[in-house]
Amino acid sequence: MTFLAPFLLGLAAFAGVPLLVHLLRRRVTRRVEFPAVRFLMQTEREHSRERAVRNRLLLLLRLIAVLALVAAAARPIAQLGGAGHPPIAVAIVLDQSMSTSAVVDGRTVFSRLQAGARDVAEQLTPDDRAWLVTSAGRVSAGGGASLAAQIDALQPSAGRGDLDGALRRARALVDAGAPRTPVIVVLSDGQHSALDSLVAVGDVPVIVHVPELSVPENRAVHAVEVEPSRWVPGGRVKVTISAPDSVAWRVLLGERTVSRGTAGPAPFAAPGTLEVPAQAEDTGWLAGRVEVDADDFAGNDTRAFAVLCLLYTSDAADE
Amino acid sequence: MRPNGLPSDPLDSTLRYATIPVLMPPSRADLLDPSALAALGHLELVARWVVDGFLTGLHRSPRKGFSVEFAEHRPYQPGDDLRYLDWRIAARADRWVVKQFEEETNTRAMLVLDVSASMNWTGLSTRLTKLAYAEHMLGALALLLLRQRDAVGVVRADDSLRSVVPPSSRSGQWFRLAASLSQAAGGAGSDLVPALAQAAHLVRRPGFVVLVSDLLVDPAPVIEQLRTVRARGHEVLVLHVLDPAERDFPEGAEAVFTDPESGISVPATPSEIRAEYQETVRQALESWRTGLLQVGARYALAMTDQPFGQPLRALVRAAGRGGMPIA
Repeated sequence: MTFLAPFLLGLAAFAGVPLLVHLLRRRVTRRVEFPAVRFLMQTEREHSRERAVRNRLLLLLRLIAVLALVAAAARPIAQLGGAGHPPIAVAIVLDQSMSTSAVVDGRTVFSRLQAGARDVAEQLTPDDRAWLVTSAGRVSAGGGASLAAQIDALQPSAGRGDLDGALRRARALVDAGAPRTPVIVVLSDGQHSALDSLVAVGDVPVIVHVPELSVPENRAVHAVEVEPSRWVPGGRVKVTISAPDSVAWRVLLGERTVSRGTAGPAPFAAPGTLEVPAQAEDTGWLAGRVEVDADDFAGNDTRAFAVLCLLYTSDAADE
Repeated sequence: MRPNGLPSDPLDSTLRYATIPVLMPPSRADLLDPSALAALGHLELVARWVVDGFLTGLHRSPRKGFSVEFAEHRPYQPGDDLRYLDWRIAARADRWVVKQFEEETNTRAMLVLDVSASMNWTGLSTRLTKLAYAEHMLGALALLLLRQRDAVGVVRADDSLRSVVPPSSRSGQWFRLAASLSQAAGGAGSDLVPALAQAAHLVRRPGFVVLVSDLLVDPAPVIEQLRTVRARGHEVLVLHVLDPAERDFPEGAEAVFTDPESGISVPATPSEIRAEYQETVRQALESWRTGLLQVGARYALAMTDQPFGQPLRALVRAAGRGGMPIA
């Protein structure tokens, strides 16, 4: 057993108050004339031992009452059997990486992770301390309701995130919650690329929640490069695409499609590359993107690029 | 001089209204609150009101003539006059019983009043002290007896005899008794034995000895003396006067309780000890009752918040069983 507010144990000195009262109560100053003192003496004679025992028991109960109050004020915690949990210091590590935006069975993976995180937050008691740590680098503390609201407001990020860093932060935070029991809860889609390295969390228990979902077939635009770096007025767009089967692609500059075609099947681990010529219609920095047909994992169906165009031709504009 | 030292100015209308209760005796004074009644007049007046009210409440006439009428049998007790033993029942059923008569012959009664310091105490300032209560009670009893032309005397005693009025039924005896009863309280201690002996001595032929006391004394010597009194053929009535605070124990915080007679002090917390104290008092009262009955004395308990009629009725009832010619 340990105490959340051990400094309040000093109040145990108040246990001396009933003891003092018990000892001082014999110094009575009020005097009353009472002719039937003989009955009083007889009563005292017959019941003094019984009353002494009763008084001592009463004193003991008063001492116990004071000590119990002090112990309650110091907020003891212990692992006991039965329902509920002892006070914990929990860090909820939520994977917010782009891969969690995948839609499986009509629902994003991230919404499932959100639901799991909310479940954890809703089970917190006022004695617990809790933090929300996302792979995007966000850290916030609060009670169960506050954290649940923050979890609901989150969206998958556009990048990969830093789950390693989130775990290290979580480890430091739960250490600060001592003497509560430290716990780290990780909610992730379990992408093999999520963790770059092993993170040492010592003896802190880590609960990992990974939804059991079938991996959706993914059509992805892995990378886009433009050549040369300055278009006068045109250049090439080098696109790396993977897809389980043939997939239609488009290259857009602004909202204008400058090229389109169909790419053959290529696995995710060995995507195919194609080069597409393109002409600009304007000068300056132009925003462009490469799209493939949308699938359940929309996060990598599109990849953006920018190109500096120094000249343009009217032919290109006519086109 | 008007009673209670009331002003005699007839023009003072405010005070005139105040005199009305004194001048108009309550119809059943024996049933009124004793302290309120005692505040209306001095002992003689109050005793008259109590007796008048008491007799009003009785259904039998106090004047019964001189005939001797058999009333009932009661078991024979040592000291009973053998003349009243019912020999027929003794021969027939081997039971020893004495005949009792409602006789109206003149008898002699001695009233023994304990005037020790313990009697001059009240648990509540608005209540009569035990002594004042006993004085009024005995005044009423004496008047009741004197009206029947019985001889009545008084012995007042604390640790010694304070005053003695020998029994007499002559005119003027009532005033002597009232004057004696109205005297100031006496010394500190209680010694009822000489007073009882003196009372028994003053009643030459078998009569009555009435002891009124708070009985805060050792029971054994008193009961032994009463046995002697009974052996001389006297009927003995004991009226045990207690303040309600002595029976129930006073309220309040912890205090040191001091006996005004012995000076003994005992610290106690009323809330802690009350129930046990009440049980002790109950046992003590029961012990007195049993001890007195064993020597053939009658016992009645009077609380100072009871109307005078209640103990007076108990006394008369007890006396009636013993053949005392009252009512």
